Amino acid sequence: MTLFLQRILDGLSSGATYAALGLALVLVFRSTRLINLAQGEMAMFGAYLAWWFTAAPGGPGWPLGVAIGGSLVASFAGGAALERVLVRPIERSTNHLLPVVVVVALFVAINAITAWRFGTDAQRMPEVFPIGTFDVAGVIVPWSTIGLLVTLAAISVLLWLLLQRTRLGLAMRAVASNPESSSLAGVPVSRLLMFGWGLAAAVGSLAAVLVAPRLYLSTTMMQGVLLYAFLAIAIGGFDSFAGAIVGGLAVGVLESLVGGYVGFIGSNLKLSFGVVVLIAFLLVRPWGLFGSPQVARE
Amino acid sequence: MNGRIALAGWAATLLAFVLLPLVTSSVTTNKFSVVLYSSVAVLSVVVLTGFNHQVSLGQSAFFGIGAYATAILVGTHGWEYWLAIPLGAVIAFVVGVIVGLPALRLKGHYLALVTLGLAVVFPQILNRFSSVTGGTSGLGVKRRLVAPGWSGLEDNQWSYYVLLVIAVAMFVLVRNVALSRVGRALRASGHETAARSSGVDVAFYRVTTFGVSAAIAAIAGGMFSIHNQFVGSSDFGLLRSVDMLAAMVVGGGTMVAGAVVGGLFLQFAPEYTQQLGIDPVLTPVVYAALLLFCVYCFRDGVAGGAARLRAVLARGRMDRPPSRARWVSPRAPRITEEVGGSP
Repeated sequence: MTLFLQRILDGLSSGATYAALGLALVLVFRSTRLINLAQGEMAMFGAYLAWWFTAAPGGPGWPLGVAIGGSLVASFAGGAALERVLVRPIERSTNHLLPVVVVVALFVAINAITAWRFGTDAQRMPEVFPIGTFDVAGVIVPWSTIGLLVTLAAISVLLWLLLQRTRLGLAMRAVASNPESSSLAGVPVSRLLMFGWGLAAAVGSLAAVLVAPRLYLSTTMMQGVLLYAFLAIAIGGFDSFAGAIVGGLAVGVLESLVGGYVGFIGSNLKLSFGVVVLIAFLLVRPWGLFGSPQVARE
Repeated sequence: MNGRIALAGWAATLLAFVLLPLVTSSVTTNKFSVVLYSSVAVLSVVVLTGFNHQVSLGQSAFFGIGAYATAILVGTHGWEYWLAIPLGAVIAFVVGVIVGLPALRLKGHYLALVTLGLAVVFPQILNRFSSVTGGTSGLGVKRRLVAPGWSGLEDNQWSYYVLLVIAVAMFVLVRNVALSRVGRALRASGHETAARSSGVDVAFYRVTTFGVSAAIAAIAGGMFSIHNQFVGSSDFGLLRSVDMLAAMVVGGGTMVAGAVVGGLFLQFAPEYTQQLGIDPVLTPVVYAALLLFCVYCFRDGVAGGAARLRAVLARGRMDRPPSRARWVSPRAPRITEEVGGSP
């Protein structure tokens, strides 16, 4: 029983990361209707930036909090710039291939630039949350898990407040649902699209920074996370923030339980199992549990 | 006139490929062996994504099925290549159809996402069954093609010619199908509503194309095994799919000729980037830059540009050759208003 609860708790810990990256993916999808395959790499670069600001030999050696803040600001700016320069020309494209090619090119380019700038060796990222654990009925609870879950809750609340209780959020929702009418109503569509991407990049970077101590900083560290995050939003609904959170946590717990209890799958095929579930959801219920069905004209 | 220029172009290309091993060094012959199997791999992407508009990031898995089927059957079980490679193609066809069936319901980036999953998962499956596949340490084939005495050729030249024959067969096959009624139906199936209203069985063609494209990729994989004599699981992941897709975009996705350019690109682009003094780690950035350039400026890739040039030469007009599909939908006409006055 204790093992079962332990596995669930570990699953919640990974799930929080999937959920956070999923929130970034949903932000991008809601504002620009794109599935950003490069979101994980952008997040990974943000984590490397934070590491370089604080712990890298040859870097400025800022305190961890300042470094993370700097990374978030830089990620926001970078995300906004990417949207304006690379994504804007093909946003309205009816050809399905072009947006995919652009995000794939972005994926590959960011990965290579990170390797070139920061090297391919794995690096240690300083712990953000206090090291140590406490014991609840035989289950070991690391402080980092609590920290991750609290951060996830905080991001969710802040996002909700932004979107539902501010004029900026109202404008973002307007642009997401109908860019043409919003533009006619005087909403600065261009700036809001950039804002959406910038915010998504910042959220993604935060997720990567928080998971880096556990996964070790490397150029491949976010690739598995990205796939699970996509699974999370496929389950939760591509345009639903609540879905991303529920989906992310569910995927984390499922991954932990299936990997632990189903011997055939073990740790090798966990990702394969995840892909199978992804395909199943996309076929049966592409708008997930909480999303809205997409109506498209041919 | 246009058709005759095209035929002349193909004949010249074929002649160049045939003469190549006889006039260049052994090293260059080996490089062009890579070009040959890369071209066939890109051909599979042209058929699926260029003609039939299904975006797939999973072709590396089918390439890998062919490579591993050949390596295992020939290396471990002593089969002959000419039996092993077609069997690999059949296996890939079946898997391709299985993937293609659910793909019917997925469009654009959803399909890209699922096929990305396929590409990531394939090496994992290879590693899981490493007793058969050799996992990450790989599997040696150890059955090099040996030139028969009567040919007077070196072993690697003979191997090159075998690959050339296979490649030519695939290209001729695809080109003939593309220009036939089946081919037109195939390309029409990329534009669903229009195709259905013309009586084309879209679902059948989409699923079959997935299977056929998988088979072509598997044959390229078999060619890879012939040339490389070694397969390792890290060679058949997402990056290979991205390479193939990039080569298709740069080469020219709507045209069979684009696959040849794509093959050349895959072999020589990394070399030239290095010669330009760019750190090899940054080669993907060069790829990405080229890809983006093609997306924003040069929609039909190199082969498309060449085709337009050919059309200009043929008649002095900017006619489009009749059997090419445009892979970018024309933008809706812009409505302009005169300020302050009546139109």
